[in-house]
Amino acid sequence: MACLIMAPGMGWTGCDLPDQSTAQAPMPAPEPTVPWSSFNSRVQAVLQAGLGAVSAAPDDPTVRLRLAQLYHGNGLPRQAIETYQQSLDMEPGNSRAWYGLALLLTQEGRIDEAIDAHLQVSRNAPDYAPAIWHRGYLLLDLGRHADAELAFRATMDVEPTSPAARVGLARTALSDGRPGDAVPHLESLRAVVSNSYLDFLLGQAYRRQGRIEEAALLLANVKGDPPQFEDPWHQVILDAGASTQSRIDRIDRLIDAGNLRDAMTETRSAIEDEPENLVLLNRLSHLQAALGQQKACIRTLKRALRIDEAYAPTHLSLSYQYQASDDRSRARAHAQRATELNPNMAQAHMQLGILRVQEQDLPQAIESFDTAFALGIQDTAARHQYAHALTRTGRFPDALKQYQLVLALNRNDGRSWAGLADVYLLQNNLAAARDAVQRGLARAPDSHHLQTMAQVVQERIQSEMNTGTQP
Amino acid sequence: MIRSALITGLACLLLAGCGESAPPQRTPPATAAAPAPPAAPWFVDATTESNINFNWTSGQFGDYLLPEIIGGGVALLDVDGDNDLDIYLVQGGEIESALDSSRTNPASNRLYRNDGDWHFQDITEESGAGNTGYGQGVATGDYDNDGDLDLYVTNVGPNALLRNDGNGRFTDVTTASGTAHPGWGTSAAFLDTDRDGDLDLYITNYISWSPETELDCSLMTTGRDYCSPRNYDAPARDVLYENLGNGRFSDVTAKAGIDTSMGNGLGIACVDFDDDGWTDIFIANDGTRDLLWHNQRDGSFKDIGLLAGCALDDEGRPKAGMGVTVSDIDDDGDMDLLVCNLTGESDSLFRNEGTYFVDITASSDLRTTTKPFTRFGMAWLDFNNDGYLDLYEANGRVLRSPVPEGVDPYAQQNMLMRGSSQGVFSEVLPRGGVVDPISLTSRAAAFGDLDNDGAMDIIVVNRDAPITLLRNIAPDAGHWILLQVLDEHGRDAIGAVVSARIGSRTLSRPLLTNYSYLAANDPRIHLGLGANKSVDTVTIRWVDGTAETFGPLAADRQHVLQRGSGH
Repeated sequence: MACLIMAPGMGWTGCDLPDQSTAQAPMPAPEPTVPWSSFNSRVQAVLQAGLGAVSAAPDDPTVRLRLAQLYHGNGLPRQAIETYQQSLDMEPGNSRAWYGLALLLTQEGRIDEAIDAHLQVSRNAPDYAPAIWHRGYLLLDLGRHADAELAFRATMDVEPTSPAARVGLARTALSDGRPGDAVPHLESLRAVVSNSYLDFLLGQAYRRQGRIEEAALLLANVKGDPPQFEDPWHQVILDAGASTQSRIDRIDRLIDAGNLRDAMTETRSAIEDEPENLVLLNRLSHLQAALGQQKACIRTLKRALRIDEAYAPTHLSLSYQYQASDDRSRARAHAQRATELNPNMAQAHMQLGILRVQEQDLPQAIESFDTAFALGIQDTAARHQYAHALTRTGRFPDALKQYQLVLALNRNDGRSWAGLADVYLLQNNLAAARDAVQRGLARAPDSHHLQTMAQVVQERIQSEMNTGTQP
Repeated sequence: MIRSALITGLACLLLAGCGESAPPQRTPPATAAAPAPPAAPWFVDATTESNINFNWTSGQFGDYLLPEIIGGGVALLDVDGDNDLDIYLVQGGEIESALDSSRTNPASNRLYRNDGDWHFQDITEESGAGNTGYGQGVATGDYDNDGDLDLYVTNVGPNALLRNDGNGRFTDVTTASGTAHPGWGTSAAFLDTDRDGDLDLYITNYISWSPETELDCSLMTTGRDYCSPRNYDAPARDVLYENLGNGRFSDVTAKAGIDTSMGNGLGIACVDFDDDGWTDIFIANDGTRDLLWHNQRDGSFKDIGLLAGCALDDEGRPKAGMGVTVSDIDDDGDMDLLVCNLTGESDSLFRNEGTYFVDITASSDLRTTTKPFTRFGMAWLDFNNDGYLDLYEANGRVLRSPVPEGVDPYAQQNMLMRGSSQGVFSEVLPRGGVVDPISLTSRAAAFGDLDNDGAMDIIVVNRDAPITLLRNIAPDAGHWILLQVLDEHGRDAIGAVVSARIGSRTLSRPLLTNYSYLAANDPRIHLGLGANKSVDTVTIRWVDGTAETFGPLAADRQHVLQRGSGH
């Protein structure tokens, strides 16, 4: 075992700091205990290839680092730690090995050691910002707020716009009972990034400042999503994962990045290994739809249904596809089936609501929307649909609230300003309608919805003036 | 039909990196000083001498049915009025038998009478309390205002209300009372939601589940195992029954607005969090955001968890909420909140700021200490009577360890943390405050003074293993006082808040039996007094908002404080 284990807060024990200039003795090929039978053949092949490479080049720290990353990415933390340590014994200044080790030590709850490992990364790669902000968050976890703040500020020296550091500074301020110091960081970030976690933190800050109404509006839209910050070295480890779940995660990352061709290649490859995996088939259908291959998409989904008729996501995907081809009857049938199979599937209720709006069945649509939003739907377009249905059924206060919720997240949403004006018009509150239009146009002058509504409001005001009623 | 769990892109379902890792062992400080002598234990295992022979039987046989990994529960209550706490243990058994009306679950709940001297007698058969549902949790409360505590048992399937006749015999009044909710009940609590002088009943439900909807989940490193509740995507609505005062309850879930939010409910604590004189309800959900039902004073509740800052942790994450405990940890008179969670997720300590909470887990030193464990039963109590609340947590995995420490791959050690005047918690070693750390799959823990010596004892329910009965022998313990707080009917005044003036400090404690996890606890208020030999005054704020003061009261004894006898 290499001399890498540190006592909490005590630094190195049992050995001195590694001498980075001294060549290390060759390490024997690692023989960790790997539960081979637990892995699918693909994971086994990847790991065995990594082991084979190490056997072929036992003195090569880079090959050994790669094996550590393979263990790490495939859910073998103990083997990964051991192999990272072997790699560091050969090349003590390898910041990527320190980084992988730091992430695993964090995962294992060895926080003080993880902090020290991140410090090693920063010594060897001072410009790698994630190592600094990771350390900041660990210090925050330990309640060492001042040290955490220093780390976040050090991150910004390296990467002045780092969202991770600014969120860290905001969290430190909130933890210190200084919501006023958190607000500027969060508001400036929200101006450039739409993120539920920012809404959550800013809502908390407002709440603690007594700005309850603003807090309530922000928090009404909060999902329980922890933040994801850019971290390329961690990405390499995640990409080393060869399990089905790792592959699905990778497909999703490619889709999120707009790289649909590579996502398609990865998906097809995964389906070759697991032809009856419904999640993969649904991903394939999603990609086919995005690439305009609608017939192929429906074929894929029908294949998924033949495998398991009771898998609700397949029905929802089919509903979307039939809706896209204007087959509302089938679209509704599949949305309905999805809600029957999984009554808690918010998106299915939402889809059913949208289809019912299209069929002018507004009371039923609102029932679906009510369920969908109670289950946590957050989508702005969906909220527009909901607000529209509420407006058309005369539930004006509820409609106003929905538009206001959207505006709390995005003050430049012209459609919501137009929606507010629409509701006010229906309430015969011409002054409020005009005010909404004017405020909206100041923020979203190019909004088609708003321009149309401005004209409607103006005509209505003119009409009232002609009949002698001032707005 | 067993369907494959089709794990989507959700993080932390069953992925390596999000799973349960082995807890770190404490590394001794690397100083040159001579090794410190072993610390004196705070508890001694009294299970063997107790004559209690009870394993919570999961019935597991390889199908990994989710309820097998969740239960079971325990209650401490004086069933026969002899002024000592008896023990009611909820049993699991065979799920499919319990859910099939043509079959009988071979296991039943057990009632053990406290005969003194740490000896207990199984009186299940004569008591009539042996419900045979596949049991999860239990709540206690005197719903009929006759001066004794009744039992409400939650099951996978219909729950049961057992009325206590005061001498250790129970009558199953489930049907007559209208409380046989058929869902998967977990923690439940009696509380007076409408201040009408009788106890209503809130039932936390976990997920919508049946053996037919069970999934097949596997981990890369350990193979098939129990699924995460998130795999099912089927959170359940909780239930609120209003006590009609005539032995019957009415389901007012929808009328009260409790149907407007839902989650994978496991834990509950009911106190007046915002000091408006009306009892609120906190629900810990497993993998979905926690709920804080604010009492609207008109029979309805509104979930304000997000606005109040206790629905998510400070990373914006819904944790796997299990157990809950409530008390005033900072002597400011309002009720703070502690929720325990899954391995990889720390406890969440929410300090009450009057109308909202601040997550102070990290500055209380609970963030990194608790993270390695999957915690269930828990309580903030002053176990060493030094005047500061300590914390006990009963732990056990929900996924097998890839490197089990013993024969039970789900076993984890339980923990004890000492509180301090600085508001930080430090772990008591040996782990759990016992000579040989308890390493089982622990679930419910109930807390109470079983031998009336002024030191709070613990009973822990373990999955497929004997219960653990811990007698408190904390060294250098301070003075103490026990308060039995009764309302005008002579029943435990659940929902009242007791504030004890001791020198320059005021210790406030809620009177509630239902907290921790699937558990019902000693209804008496226990206070550690440190070096103080008396309590100057005790002010009780009753559930209807009125206050009454008692005292001074001498230390090291139990006092009965009945409404109307103070000033």
